Amino acid sequence: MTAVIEAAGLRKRYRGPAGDVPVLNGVTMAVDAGEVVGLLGVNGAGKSTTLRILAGLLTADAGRALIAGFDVAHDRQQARTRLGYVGQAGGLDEYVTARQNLVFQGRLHGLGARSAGQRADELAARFGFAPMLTTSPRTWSGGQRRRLALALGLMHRPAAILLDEPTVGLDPDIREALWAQITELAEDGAAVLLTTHYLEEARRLCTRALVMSGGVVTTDFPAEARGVAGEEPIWGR
Amino acid sequence: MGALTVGKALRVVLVYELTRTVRNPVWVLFGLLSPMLSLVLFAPLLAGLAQKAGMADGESLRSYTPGVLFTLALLGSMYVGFSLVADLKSGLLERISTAPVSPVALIGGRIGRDAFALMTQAAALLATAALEGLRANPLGVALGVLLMMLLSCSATAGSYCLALLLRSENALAAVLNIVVLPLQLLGGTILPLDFGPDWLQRLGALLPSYWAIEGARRLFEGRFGSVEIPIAVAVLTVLTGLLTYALSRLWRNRTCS
Repeated sequence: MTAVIEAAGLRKRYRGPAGDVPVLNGVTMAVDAGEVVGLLGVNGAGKSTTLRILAGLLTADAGRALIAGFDVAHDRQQARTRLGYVGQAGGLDEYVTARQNLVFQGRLHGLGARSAGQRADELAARFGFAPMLTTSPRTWSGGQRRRLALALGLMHRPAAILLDEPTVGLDPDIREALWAQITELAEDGAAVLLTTHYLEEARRLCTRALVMSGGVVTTDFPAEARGVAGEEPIWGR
Repeated sequence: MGALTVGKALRVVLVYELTRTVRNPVWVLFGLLSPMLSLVLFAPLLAGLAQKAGMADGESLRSYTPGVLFTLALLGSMYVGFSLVADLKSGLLERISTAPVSPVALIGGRIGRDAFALMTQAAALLATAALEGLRANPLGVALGVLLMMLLSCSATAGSYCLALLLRSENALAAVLNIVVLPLQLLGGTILPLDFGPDWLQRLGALLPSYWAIEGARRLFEGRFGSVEIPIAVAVLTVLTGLLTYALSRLWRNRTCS
């Protein structure tokens, strides 16, 4: 099977006051269609940096990041039309309605006004915020905002979906509902790569877990093999 | 579905940015408040002073209005960087930067929105000045507004550059406060620098704000052959080009779009 999300030997250093700090030291991974892969690790392990390079928001010092076979640094437009990225901050625009957020995102990805409107309605129904579609997300709860952020990343039906800590700070019930929705995305054929701190999330949601430490992927295994929630974190063993 | 052309993307972004502004018109009104108060409260004082100095009726207003228009363009544009910092922090900029859209469209849409807001504010300001007795060449007034829109484009691009570099509201406020005041005073916003000593005039002539205001004053007077007008157009065009180029480079570096 051809990987939809692929990283090969990614390296990245950040400039700090005390000199360059290596963050990624050769990250290599692949995510196939229909997979939900969890990227685990302590703070500073390089999870978000890896995701941001794959999204084309950061440039790697070395290595290649590919989306559906297109290099995000060189075939930027081709890669981006196939990519859905949901960052930690969510990227919601509180000055307009949820529908206007969604339609604008769809229009940026080349959807016509009518198609974007229909897709916005469809996603609002799927994620359960249809009654609030014409209101600003300013007053929405954390769970509702995360759902809208996820819907924004899906407006153009991307083949590759990158989620940076999609359920952080959410109640268990809301997290559970979001897991079900992410699972549906993979069942529909998308390749999903997400970062998480929650072992429970990796166990329940992911088909595979990748553990990052010291700027590389140290472990790659089926998520159900890593035990139950509440055990010692696997990256601490 | 696929990547949009730059022209189509620009239209999509501009319409969206205008929607944001229309849904929050309070900021456009706030931007207008300070120059409007200057015109309503300060212009009558200036008129009285000018009359004592032997100036013709309405001459002081014709000289002062371009300065107020300049203040409107400068203040309205220099502070737009705050909206970009907010969009950086909310992740909005990151989200739209992952779309297959040229940064030219993302930047151009925002600058276009700001120019449109300025045009609306300028119309309200000039209507008020007309009610106060402004007598100026209509063609010159229209061209003066266009000159101020050019100034607005350069100030907007400069403000966005600072926002991308500093990425903090506090730092941006501190830098803007340092930049705006000399631009206003040495541009001769309130009174032409002709009234001042030579060294002040020479210092003012180094700044684009001086040429912008002097150019607008000549246009309002209908003196289309004055040398200040082509200098103002040239200075502001070059400045806008340089700052827009710097902004597009910074935007690419900071968002990888």
